Amino acid sequence: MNSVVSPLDFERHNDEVRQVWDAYREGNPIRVPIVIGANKRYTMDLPEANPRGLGWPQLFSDPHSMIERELEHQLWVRTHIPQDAEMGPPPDGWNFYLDYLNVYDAAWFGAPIHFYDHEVPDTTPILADEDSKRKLFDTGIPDLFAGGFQARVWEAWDYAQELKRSGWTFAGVPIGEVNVSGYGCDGPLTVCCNLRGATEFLTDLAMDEEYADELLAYVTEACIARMAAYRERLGHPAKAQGHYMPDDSIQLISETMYVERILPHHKRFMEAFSLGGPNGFHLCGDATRHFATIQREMNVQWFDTGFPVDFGALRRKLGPDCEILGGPSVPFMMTASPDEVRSEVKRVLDTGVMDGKFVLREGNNLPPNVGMDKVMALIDAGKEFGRYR
Amino acid sequence: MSLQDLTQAVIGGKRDIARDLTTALLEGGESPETVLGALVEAMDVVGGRFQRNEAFVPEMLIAARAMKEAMTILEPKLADAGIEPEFTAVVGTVQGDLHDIGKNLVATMWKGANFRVIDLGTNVPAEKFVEAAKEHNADLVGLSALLTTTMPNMKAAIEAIKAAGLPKTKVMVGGAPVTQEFADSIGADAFAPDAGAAVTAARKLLGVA
Repeated sequence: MNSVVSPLDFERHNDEVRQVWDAYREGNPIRVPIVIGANKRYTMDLPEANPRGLGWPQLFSDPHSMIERELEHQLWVRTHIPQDAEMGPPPDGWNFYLDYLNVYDAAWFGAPIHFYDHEVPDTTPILADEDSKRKLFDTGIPDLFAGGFQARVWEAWDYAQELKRSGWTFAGVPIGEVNVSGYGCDGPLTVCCNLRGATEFLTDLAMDEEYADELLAYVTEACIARMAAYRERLGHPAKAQGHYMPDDSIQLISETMYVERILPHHKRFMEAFSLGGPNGFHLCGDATRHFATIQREMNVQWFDTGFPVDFGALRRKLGPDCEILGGPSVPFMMTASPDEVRSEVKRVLDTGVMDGKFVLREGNNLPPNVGMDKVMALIDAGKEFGRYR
Repeated sequence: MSLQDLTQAVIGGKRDIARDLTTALLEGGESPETVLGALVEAMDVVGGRFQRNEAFVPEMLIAARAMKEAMTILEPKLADAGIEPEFTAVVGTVQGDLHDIGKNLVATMWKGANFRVIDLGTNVPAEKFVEAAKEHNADLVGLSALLTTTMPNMKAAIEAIKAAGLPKTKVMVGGAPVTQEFADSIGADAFAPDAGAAVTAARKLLGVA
């Protein structure tokens, strides 16, 4: 893959990006902003973005490899994807997140991490059988900084601080602010499913309510304690105006079960970290039936969506002030041609979703096998069909 | 106490009642085949509700659990009566993917439709699907994936199954990110958008719809 914006054009691109976002934030948008979600997995198999061919086991075990791979990825994104974000090396320093993907929550509680060739790592449940299902209650909340895999995460953070102090640079740019996995949480239902096994925990929700509620409360309390401690260590305020959280597994349950069993835990996160909002929620999968409740109950005015989504219906349901992020689904983009991606962008933008705050993106998070020709088709179509004036 | 009560017990996930009713119905003279019909009907209802977003995964799982409990009573009676499942299906989550819920739901629905189901679990390499399909003379192989990164491993499994020369074995794929277009692109014989649809699609594929 070749760079699609030459270095000389970065300044012009960045000027346009500022104009697009400024107009959008002022409520007088020029066109829909366009962003692309691509984490390290997207570039793992690209020799130009991962020249040493590092694999996930190396990244998870060696802080220097993790940091350098993260920056190689960022640099590739910043020189290849002309989304509505700053391109080119960052002028003031690399701000990044030590991203241990979606395994960090369960791994903190002690779930083993498994690695497979060319796949993202995953964990296996540790509470799956009757003998083990209560064992976390006996051991209490894991050490906030050294429990399970988090010791390695903080080792990497400490190492990043050492590099920063030493004046180490990547592509001539020093390290800026560094954040860590565990600062957020993948959501209490999702974590419970990962720890107990989705089949087992969803059955518990229906048949062993006392246990399910106890595990949800335990996970919620533990994750809030960890997230609060990380904010304190990083010198961040305990609460922000708005808090953003995900919980993808709520796509698997009814609205009634959500309201009665899960929403109280989500509210605890919001109460712990939000000054009142507006707040945000990321929900992959078919979870839009819960959106109105989430909006109403937790002042959520920002939804990062997955698939499938009826964008027009969602806009009508949530109102014009609610910010919706979404677009062609990643399963669609895996098999569609660039022309089909273009048509899908037009279809989405014609649903009425642009009658309120809308940010076009893939839905949700590019898999490695979606080519840049399709990414460019999405961006170009967004610029063509997403204009307000 | 009626067949309808049994159907309702399974739909409602009432495991103990389903087991007791199965026992009572058989002792009362109902044929194993008739009792099986009540269970199949229950799973059809649950599958339909799931497809219409009237029931969700927990409701489906507890219905499956109730049916499984009833089947522990019923299966020996079916065997005694010489009633064997008409079709054999192998099911698993493809290599590199540890997610089991979709696969479990489909396995449950197929059992509920009186298929013999060989569940290979998660992270199943292509050759294991081939081995199991050969060993059990499978009519159907179901491949599941939850991750977009593991979806390409479905193609590898399909190619291995086709290359093994198993003329009667059909392959169905499914999973949250899987689409009809993707299924077509990798040469799958069928695609099911959800576990409820997996029964209908399987029956159609096997020529019994």
